[in-house]
Formats: sequence, structure tokens, C-alpha cells
Amino acid sequence: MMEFEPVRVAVLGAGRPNVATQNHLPAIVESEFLELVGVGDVLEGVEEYAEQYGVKAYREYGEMLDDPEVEVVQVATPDWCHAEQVVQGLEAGKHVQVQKPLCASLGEIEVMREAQRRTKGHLGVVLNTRRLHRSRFLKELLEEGVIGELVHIDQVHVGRRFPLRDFGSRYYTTQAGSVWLHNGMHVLDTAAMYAAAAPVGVQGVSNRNPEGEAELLGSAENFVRAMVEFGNGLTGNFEHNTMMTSGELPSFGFVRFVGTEGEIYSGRGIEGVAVRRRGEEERVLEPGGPEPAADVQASFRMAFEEFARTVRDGEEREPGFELSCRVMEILFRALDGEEVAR
Amino acid sequence: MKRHGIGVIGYGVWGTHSLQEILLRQEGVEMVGVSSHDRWGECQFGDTVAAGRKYAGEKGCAFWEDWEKVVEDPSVDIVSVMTSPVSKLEVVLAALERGKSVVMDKPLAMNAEGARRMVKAEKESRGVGMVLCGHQYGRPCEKLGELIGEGRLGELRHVDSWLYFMGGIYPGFRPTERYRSEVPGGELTVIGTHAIQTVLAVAGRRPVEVRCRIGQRFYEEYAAVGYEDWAELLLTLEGGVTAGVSVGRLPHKLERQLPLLEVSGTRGYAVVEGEELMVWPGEETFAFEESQQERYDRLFGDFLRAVETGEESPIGFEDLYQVQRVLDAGYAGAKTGKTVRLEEE
Repeated sequence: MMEFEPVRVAVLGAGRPNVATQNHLPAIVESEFLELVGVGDVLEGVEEYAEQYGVKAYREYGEMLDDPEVEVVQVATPDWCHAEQVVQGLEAGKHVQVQKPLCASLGEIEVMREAQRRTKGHLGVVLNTRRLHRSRFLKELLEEGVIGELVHIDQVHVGRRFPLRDFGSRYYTTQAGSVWLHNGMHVLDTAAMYAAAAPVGVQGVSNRNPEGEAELLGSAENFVRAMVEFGNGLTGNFEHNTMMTSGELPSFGFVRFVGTEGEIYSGRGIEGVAVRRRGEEERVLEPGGPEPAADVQASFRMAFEEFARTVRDGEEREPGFELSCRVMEILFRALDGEEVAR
Repeated sequence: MKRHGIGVIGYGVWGTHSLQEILLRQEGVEMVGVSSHDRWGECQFGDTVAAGRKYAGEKGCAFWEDWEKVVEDPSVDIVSVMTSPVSKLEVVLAALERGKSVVMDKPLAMNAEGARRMVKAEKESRGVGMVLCGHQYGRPCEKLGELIGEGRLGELRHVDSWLYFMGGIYPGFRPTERYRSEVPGGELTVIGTHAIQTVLAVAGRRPVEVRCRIGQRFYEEYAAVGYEDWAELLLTLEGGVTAGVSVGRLPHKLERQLPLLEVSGTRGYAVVEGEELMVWPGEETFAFEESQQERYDRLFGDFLRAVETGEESPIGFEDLYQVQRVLDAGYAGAKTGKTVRLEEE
């Protein structure tokens, strides 16, 4: 049974194999609540995707914004293009859902806040990691109180950054921010979901491996460790280590929740999810769930559908835009090593 | 084998444990007498004098109510200083001044100034000081230090340490308000000193900046006196090396603990977990089978050799002075949420 009329979506940045074409488009067409009406990009490749999906191709962003059929613009362009395109979308009267990270500089957050205040469109960030099966499984365990009251979250990622073929890309430069900014929004947004509170304070250290191939290391920081405080008093410690240069180096991570009665651990060293309570033997749970590729696809679809519901009934769903702004601010502040007011 | 006369000041939880399990196991060691500097034992005992007499009786040695008798006795060569942090400075300076060697538990002092005075006194004394602290003396960390020295990981960039004591409050221990006032930072001092010392020893760099967070989370007994059970630090060390330290006393017990150490260099990465060291690239694993007892025996063997020969102490006061600087900065930083930059020396 259809809950509401499908929301008509156009995807910007769909000119070559990337998150727009590999994740956004398949997820949209899979949903009964969304209708793909067009794809846009300055690249010629957008014509092929338009033909493949039987929708319009926009070679200029203005064409997409002028199209009255488009209700929602999904901005899935390079990070440094997000802020300007989001503002343009809102000013054109569209609802906008933008890929993470929200933007590439601290100042752009306020620009987007201001644009949202003076326009009528809804603005959201595509944060699918919180909707992955394992994330939801962990959240349910926390809500069941299996470790008592949650007090702390540790999350560590050790591995290589994504390699790009285009060595001239601004993803390699400090102007585009570090890999911490590119990927950290997922980490901190999901942590905020687990914590059931927004991050409100941070202290961080960043570092950089300057030796090695530019395609692996970029020119920005490739290591961050941040102590984060959430609004309800919970704390978190987040490490993103992409200083790895060799293919022989490991890639792994873990997330660990410490509660008043024990801890939950998922990641390096075990297959399932370990629950360790005081005075009890360790239990290893199997989260189950779909195959990884299908899980990712479903997570994107859920993120889009939630935003579509917001468009239809006007009620903002988690994570709200303000939470995403706060997460982004914390990411920038951690990189600076500066603290924000609690 | 030279005879080493041991004088004991402090026979509380750790004082008796370290004596019985470590120091008195060593060859040529003989216990001379026992005393207490203060009411440190109030966390464990009611009447500390009665407890001291009983303990001395069990060990067949003298009991002195006046702790200065210990450092003055000519048959005492090594003073086991297991007193409250607030009284360590007075006792250690008195012992070193009389040419005695000192073995003590961490922390070294109440603050960096006290630690600095101890470092100076040890340099001027014929006695040798050692602090029971850190994991750098373990075989995996020693091997890691060797590999870093050989350049296996390239230039060092970051060191992490997670160190959690498990299973709740130490049996028989009851924190008091006085204890809390003498152990600032709670477990940051008690457990954190181990982790900080290990990180600094492995990195071989002095601290430059400290960011710290301290919390009280798990125990009513701790909350009653405001004693903290959790701490996290982010450090900047010389040469742009960074470090993270997470410590706490957890109510539950884990079968698998987080890695004790994680080290990232420009060309490699290494993890110490339990008695194993794993190194990349190459994915080489070094497994060791040394028990904690064997490790202590080796450490004290080296200490007694240093006492006899005047060689450098295996874990000396200078090392712990640097740790104390981090602790001082941590206490201050945790109150304000601000980064504390250490003064250049």
C-alpha cells in the first residue's frame, strides 16, 4: 500500500562511475516512494545514464533547477561543490539532499544554515551508514540495555584512503579537507545515533604521513584522533588512521560501547558482535542481515525514503539538518585541535 | 651475590603485594624492618600500627613506628617506598640523602616539581631509584622498541595505548576522601601512569602538549569521595609525533582486551596485544611466553644489578618525571577542556 505520492528526484553528479551512479540511482529506482526524473552532470557520460534509466539529462545545473518536475535535488558532486549547489537548489525552491560531507569548510556551514532559514525547502544529508544492518543491530542492543547505561563509544579505523585515478583532484589537497572530513561524518553521525545525542565538544590531534605515494596519502592530514563529548554527557573517542602506504599494511577497525554493566565490541578479532557483561561469560552474537552490497543499497534507499517522507509531511527525520551541521563542526574543530564550547 | 637489606615504608595493598610477590623473591634480599609514614593504610586497615606489628611479626623483622628509623638503619640498603603520593617526596629524599636506593610504586610524586627534586636528589646520591611502572619492560614492547630503532616502521608518527584494569575495584581497597585528595585524577594517576610511561618509552620523545578528559562512571564507592575511574589523553610529542591514551577501571572483565599499544610509522604499523607483537608490512608476529612474575624477576634482577654497579636504573626517576609533567597538565586540562602546552625545558 502506497503511503504517499512518489517524490520526484533528480541526481546531480551522475556523469561517471561514482556514488551518484553506483548507489543513488539504483536505490531510487528500487523505491516505490521515489521517482527518478533526471540526472545531471557537466560530463558527457550523464547522457548514457539518462538513457539507461529512461530519464532526462541535464548538462547544466540550472536546467535541473528550472525543471518544475523536480521536487528533490540530490547533490552527489565533489565535496567542495556541495555548499554552493545546496544553496542554489534551495533558492530555486527545491528540497535538497546532499551527499556527505556537508561541505568543505567551516564557514560554509553557516551559509547553508542561513539559506535554509530563508527558503522553504527541506535540507538533509545522505547518511546511510546509520541505516546499515549492523548499525541498527548495535543500536537495538544498546536500547535493550544489554550493557546497562551507555557511557562511552570507541571507534577506530585503520586502513588506506580511497585511491583516485585523477591525481589532479582536489580530494588530494588540503583545500578539500582531509579524509577525516570525507568519511568522518558517517562515523560521528552514527555515533550520535548510538549516543542519542548531538556532539557538543571535541579535542583532537591530527597527524600526517608525508612519505609515500600522493594517490594514497594526499596532501592533507591522514590521521585524526578526537575525544568527543555528546550533549547527554556520553563521551566518544574516534580515530581515523589512513597513514597506511603499502598494500601489505592492514585495514581494519572496531567499535566498542562501554556501559555501566559491560561492553559491546564489534570489529577486529571477532566475526560477530561480542557482549561482555560483568560476572558473565562473553556472548558472541551473529547480527545476520543481507549481503554487504545489498545492505549498502538498502541503506541508501532508506535514507532517501526518510527524506521523501519529510518532503511530504514536513516533519524532519533523524538525523536532522542541525545535527548534521553540528557533526560537521565537530569534525572541523577536531582537525584544528581546537575545542568548542560545551 | 651481594646481600641487600630491605627497609619497608608502607605495607598497604600494593606495598605488601610488591614485597611478597616481587622484591622478597630475589636472591640475596633480606627484610630488615617495617614502618609506615602515614595513615595510607586506612584504605585497607583500621589500626595501621597494629597491622604493621603483625606484618613485621609474620616477616620476622623489626617494626618501627618512626619511619625515619628505616632510612637511618645501616643494615638497610634499599628502601621500599609504598606510601601515599603526598609523603613520597619526604621519604625518598631522606633515603637518597643517606645513600639508600629506593624502589617505589608510581606515581613518582604529587607534581612535577616534586618529581624534579627527586631526580636531582637521585643524581647526587650513590643510591639508585626505580619506579614500578609501565609495560615497556615487557618482551613485546622491548622488541617493538628494537624494531623502531632499526627503522622497521620508518619515522614514528602516532602511538596509542588502551589500558583497562578489569573486574571492578581492587579487592580489599576502599577509597577515602584523604586518598582521593592525595591521588589527583584518580585512575588517570593510578592506571594512566603505566600507559603514559609506556607510550613515552616506546616513542622515545618528550611531551609537548596535553589534552585530557577525566570521568567518574562506575562505582558508588568512588563517587562517594569523588574519585575518578576513567581518563583519556591526547598528546603531542617532540618531532610532531602524536599519541592517544585511554585508561579506566571497568566493572566487567574481558576475555579479549583492546591492544595495549598501536604504533603507526611512515612505512609500517605494529600492534602489541597481550604477549604478542604484530608488525606490518610483512605481517610478522613475535610471540613471547614470559609471565608477569618472570618479568618482575627480570626487572628487579636488573635493578639490583644497578644498585650494585651504579648502572642506570631500568625504570628511572627521569622517565617518571616526564610522566608527571603529563599528569600535571592532564589534571589542569581536564578542568578547563583546553589544550595545555608544556613549558620547554
